[in-house]
Amino acid sequence: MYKNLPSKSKTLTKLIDKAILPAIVLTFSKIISLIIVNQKFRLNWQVGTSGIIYTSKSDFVLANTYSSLFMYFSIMAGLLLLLIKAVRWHSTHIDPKVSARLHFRKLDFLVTESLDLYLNTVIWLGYSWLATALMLIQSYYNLILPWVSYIALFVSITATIFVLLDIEREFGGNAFDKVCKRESISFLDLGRILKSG
Amino acid sequence: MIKRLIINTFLFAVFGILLALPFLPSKLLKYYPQKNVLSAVARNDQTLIKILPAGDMLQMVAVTAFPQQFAYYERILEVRNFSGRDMLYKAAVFVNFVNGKNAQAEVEAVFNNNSDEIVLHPGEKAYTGLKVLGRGDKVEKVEVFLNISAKDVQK
Repeated sequence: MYKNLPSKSKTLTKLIDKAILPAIVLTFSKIISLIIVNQKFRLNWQVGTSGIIYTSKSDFVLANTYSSLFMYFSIMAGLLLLLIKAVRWHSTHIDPKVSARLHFRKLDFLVTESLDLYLNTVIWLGYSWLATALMLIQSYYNLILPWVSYIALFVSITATIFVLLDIEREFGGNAFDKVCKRESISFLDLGRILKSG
Repeated sequence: MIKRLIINTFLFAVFGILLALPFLPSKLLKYYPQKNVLSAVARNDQTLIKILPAGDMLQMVAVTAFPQQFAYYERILEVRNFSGRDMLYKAAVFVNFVNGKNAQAEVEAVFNNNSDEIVLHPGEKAYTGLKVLGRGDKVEKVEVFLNISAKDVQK
């Protein structure tokens, strides 16, 4: 599919590929949550030519807050799955025992390659920070209850830290450290082994 | 070179749209400032039009200028923005009469910031609905067009 494209375009096309599913999931979660909130709180609303119209600001804030929160929960779920993949099932530093267990249970597909993982991370973290920025702006203008934006900010920062730690594990440290880690031997053990010849 | 530029621009645009897509429903949410929402109350000797929250049930009253059986009450059915730029609002009022008849129509009004109520004497005519004109939170003028007479109410 990407054969005839320049390398930059290939990456972009892969990013687009990865962004389709989250975009659909998040859009639907927002719409469905709006319907649920409108029904649950019996809000006074109607569909007009310019969109969904509320006859009072409090109704608008309530609908916006809970639908944004629901959408952010979807982002959190996506990020959580990615972080589990990054920490536990990342092909470059998966624990041998975990790898063997997955293989025996025929769950090898859970082991994720770096490129796949990082492309997904770019998308989900992107959505997370975009949603957080939007919620912070909206809470500044009193269009959303502020606690939702604080939760989003906290989750985005935490997720970013975990992703950075995973990148550090992937690219940080030298090859010698990696060999020691993979073989589960310490630097002192290695010294003893070399000394004994 | 140009071909690559076009391809990359197109791909960036598609990627941007995909990133923006989940946030579009938020953009479609709107509300009307309560200040611009009209409702009306009929009292014994006068009809009072006030700015009240939409959806409020209005008081049921007898208008003594009309024959006794024509006590009626109203409530706002809808408030709709007809023009995003001019903030044109319309409120349809539903009128119920004790004799079982009812009527639904519109009264047009352009709101004035200095005044949030108008008093109407129902001897000859009664309003049937409201229309509000203004910009944003600020409405400039109120006009009420009376087009139902006591005679019409008795139909």
